[in-house]
Amino acid sequence: MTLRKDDGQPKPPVDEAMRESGRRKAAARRTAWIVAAIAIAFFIAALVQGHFTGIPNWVPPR
Amino acid sequence: MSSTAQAVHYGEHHQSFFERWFMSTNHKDIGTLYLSFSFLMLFVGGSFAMLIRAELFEPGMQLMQPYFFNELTSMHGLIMIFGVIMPSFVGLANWMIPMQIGAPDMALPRLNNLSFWLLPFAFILMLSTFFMPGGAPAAGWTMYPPLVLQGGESIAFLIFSIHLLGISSVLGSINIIATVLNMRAPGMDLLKMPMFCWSWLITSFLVIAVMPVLSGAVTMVLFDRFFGTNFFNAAAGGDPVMYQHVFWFFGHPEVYIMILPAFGIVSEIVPVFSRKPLFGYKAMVFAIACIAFLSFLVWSHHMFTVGLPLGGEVFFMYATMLIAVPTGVKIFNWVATMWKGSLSFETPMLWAIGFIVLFSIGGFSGVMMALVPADFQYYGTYFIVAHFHYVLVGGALFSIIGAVYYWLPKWSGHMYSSFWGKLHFWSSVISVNVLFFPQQFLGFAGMPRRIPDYNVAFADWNMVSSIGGFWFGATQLIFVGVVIHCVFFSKQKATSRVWEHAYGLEWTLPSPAPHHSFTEPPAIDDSQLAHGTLTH
Repeated sequence: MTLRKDDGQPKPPVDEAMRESGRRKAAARRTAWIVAAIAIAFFIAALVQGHFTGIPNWVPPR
Repeated sequence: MSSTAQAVHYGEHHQSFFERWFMSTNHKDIGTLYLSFSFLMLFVGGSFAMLIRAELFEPGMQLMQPYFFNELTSMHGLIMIFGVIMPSFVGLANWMIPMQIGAPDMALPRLNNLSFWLLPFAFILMLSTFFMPGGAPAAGWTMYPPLVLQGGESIAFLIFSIHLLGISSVLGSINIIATVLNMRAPGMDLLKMPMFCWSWLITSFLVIAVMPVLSGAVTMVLFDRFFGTNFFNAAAGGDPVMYQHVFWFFGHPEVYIMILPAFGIVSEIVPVFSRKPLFGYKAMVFAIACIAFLSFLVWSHHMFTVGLPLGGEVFFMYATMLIAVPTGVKIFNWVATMWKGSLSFETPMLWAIGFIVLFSIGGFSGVMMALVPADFQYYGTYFIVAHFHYVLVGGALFSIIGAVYYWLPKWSGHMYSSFWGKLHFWSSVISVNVLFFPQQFLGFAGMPRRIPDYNVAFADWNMVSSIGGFWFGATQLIFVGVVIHCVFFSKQKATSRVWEHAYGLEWTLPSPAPHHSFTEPPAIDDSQLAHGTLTH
């Protein structure tokens, strides 16, 4: 990514609707990551449940 | 949005067939893909059901070996749940949620594409097991160990396909949550959303919570089968009953994943054809949320006979009976919406009323099974089969077909033949009762489920049930004809507001809905909400 120096020229006006759309997209991505983390937590919880129930009874295979 | 940006983002552009149907990120196209796929799978899973009913037409072994019968019952269940009911609801969500909340598309369109395209590969894997040495997994759709560990190695393919299906469902639900929470048009508050969007928002949280648990359960099965662990091997200190606990922690909310969107659909259709606002909108929303919450507290009612402590059985019995309360609220509110309404019985309304009646029959038999002593009699019999088919065919499938008849003119821009739609309904509603009602008698008489042969005492009702099955299966060909005719051949154009009393944002769009809709956020008119005004 190239960083551009501020050339001091006036910037074109940013369209408010475009910014709003961008904000919504960013918020949607944040929501998606949070929900994905919850899903992963449930997956791990299912495996942990299996381990905690299984380990006390575990007999090593011969 | 500036006109240039709009042209770039939303302008009409021509796509090749491949681009449109294989690379699409458009919510309507992906919705169509989901619906078409689930329609195809309906006939695959339905053909398995026809074979099952053909074998059960009379006592004795007629058509197949017992192991193949078990493969068919297992695959029928998996296909109908993961390949038909769930994807068709996701397809409806894809089509309708952005249009109902005034969003231009789903929040994460490329994720949407991925969610769909995982499905065909998952089902190719699943169905390919039929052609593998040892055949397809035949331990039932619940895949209980130790039975499932005693089959062939094709179980690995089934488990991998379930992982893919789980990922697909979770990604789809992430998208729906992100869309509903972030993409609503200004003024579309949560409590102004149509009931279908509410039902899917809550369903999505159920999917997020339980599909990973199923993945965890089958992963442990995979490790037991191939990597020497003993999670479920009692001989090595494992616990097969633990699988049932983990599985049904997924399995019971899964039942609601397959029925809550149906509640949303019926709540859309009934007010329109009653020409009244939905009775008790907020109560309906809270009832769905309440059912979703309670669904996490009842899983062991599927395992009353495994030897639970008495306190556990009592807890799960009462918790299960408690679910009848919010469900009763919903049934009451649909009937109250119709009460003194100006009813008309167009095709979608017939399917919605059919849903209410048939789902109530299935729901009542569910309450019967919630009673521990009674369940000891019903467990493992055809009464269970009758119960969940009333809920899933008379309930979920009827609502999906009703939704297609309700929104098809909006999707295709054409009207379908009302005569054939109504004939489809009446033939379905009679045949589905001929098919499943006798199974309740068989269950009461003690006929076990999942058997290819049976005592001659059960012969008569099995024959009646099979005749109903063939009749119901053949009737669905009418549906194929109606949909194909409507989409490709119908000359009758649909108006934008297809149904006289239909409000809500989707009916402000032309029919067919344009490829890109609501590129500018619409203004929300509180007097035109889908469920009526907020006075109720």
